[in-house]
Amino acid sequence: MKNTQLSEAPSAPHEGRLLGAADVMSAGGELQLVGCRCRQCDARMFPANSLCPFCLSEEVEALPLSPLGSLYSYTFIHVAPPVWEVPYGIAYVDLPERVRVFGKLADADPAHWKLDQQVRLCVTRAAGADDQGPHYHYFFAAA
Amino acid sequence: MNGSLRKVSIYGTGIIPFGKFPNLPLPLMARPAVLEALKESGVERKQVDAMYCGSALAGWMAGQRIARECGLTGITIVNTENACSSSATAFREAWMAVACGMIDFAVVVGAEQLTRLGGGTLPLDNEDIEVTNGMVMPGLYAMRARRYLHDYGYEEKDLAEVAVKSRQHGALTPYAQFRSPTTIEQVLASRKIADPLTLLQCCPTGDGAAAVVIGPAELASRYTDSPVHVLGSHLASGKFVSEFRDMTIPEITVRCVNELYEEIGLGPEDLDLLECHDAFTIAELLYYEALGLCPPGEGVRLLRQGATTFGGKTVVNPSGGLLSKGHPIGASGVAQIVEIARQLQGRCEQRQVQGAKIGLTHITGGGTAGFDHGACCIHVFGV
Repeated sequence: MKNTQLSEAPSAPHEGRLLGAADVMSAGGELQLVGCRCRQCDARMFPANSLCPFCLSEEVEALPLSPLGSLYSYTFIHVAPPVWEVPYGIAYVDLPERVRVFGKLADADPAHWKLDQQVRLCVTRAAGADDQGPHYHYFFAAA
Repeated sequence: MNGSLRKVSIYGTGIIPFGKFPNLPLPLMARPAVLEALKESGVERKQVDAMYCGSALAGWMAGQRIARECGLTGITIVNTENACSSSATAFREAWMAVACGMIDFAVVVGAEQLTRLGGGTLPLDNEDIEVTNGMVMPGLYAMRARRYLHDYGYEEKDLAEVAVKSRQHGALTPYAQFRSPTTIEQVLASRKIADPLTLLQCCPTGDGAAAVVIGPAELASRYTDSPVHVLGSHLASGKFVSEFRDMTIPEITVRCVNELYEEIGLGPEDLDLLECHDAFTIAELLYYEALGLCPPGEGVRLLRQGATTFGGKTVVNPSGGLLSKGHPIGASGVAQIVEIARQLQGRCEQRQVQGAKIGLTHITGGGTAGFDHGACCIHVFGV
């Protein structure tokens, strides 16, 4: 599948957590999530942390996260708090940067998903903004 | 364990039938359990030095509110919150206070009313990145289940067998929330919650309370003919991991139980029975493996062999466990302890594990991003 431009992104599932401008960067017209890597102990994580929670080093650098990862596990939720529209899919996706990201799947059709398949981490603009910039959210689409 | 600690015994136990009591104030719901434990113990109210109360969602000062209804006000009261491990943690705190000689007699109570929350999944922390992206507790276990079935080549009906066994046990337990047997077909046909988990593979919404009275082993014979001794106690917290983890290995339980086995010089082969944190069917299989009853991936085979039901090598969840007895989360830790204590006393009639001498309770929980679980509390008891 070709690179997913914003305009071509699969339709987003019901909106999840909003991310701020610091969690996202633009690379070649594509939006990517940004986690962090500790320069002292090499720990990686998303969301980023200004202090490494493992070694407490402040030498933490931005780590752009690959848009492609492997579907470690997933499920379709049929009972959830009223804020969510059911059913919806959630998943853990393992990225080449050695970071596991939790998020929603683009759809809740079991036929579209299987373990260990490649998935695309899609970042899209959300409606709101703050003084740091626009808000975003992210989800996983089949790659 | 520190050699200077006193040995501690359970003197009395109390529990109410678990169910749905949305119109009963929590203190009144818990009162019969506390009074039953006190009566059994032979300890007078005025001898009780402290109360330890575990509850996750009952609000401020659940212990004081319960004490008010039980004639126990004015003493030291400690309230503990540790997700599903709340009242097991309360028990451990009480055990430490008695063991080190600070106090002699403590009441430990666990109480929770989930029906007051309106049913459905548990409320989770809104600062958590996973929760704000749609995580619910059944979802976490469902993802473990999917990976486990895939990695070891099992099927959804293998999970359903756990629920069938649980209901068989629950049918024999007077205080279980679910007391009717079920079948693999019924379990699989029940409505979807978080696939592959169906409704009958999930612990129910419910309310309940359980209590024990503990004191020093050296004084036990003055009060009771059948004390149950605490052989070991351990509490572990989750380790934060931001990278990859194997979701089929509940790391916090593996670490907690192995540290405890080493400390007390016992192992899984010594256990006649145990109550484990079977909040969902997959959990019981993972905990067989994590507690050392069988190697990783062998949980389904252990279940099929009948090794974990009556007549088996180690009976797991004779009460029906969280799946059938119910899981009012803050109450479950002490409820497990009540079941194991009564089994070791030989009082469990139809569901009695014959010749039971050593039993274990295991309760973990707390869904938080980056943790296997937040807390895990394990106790071993003997007679």
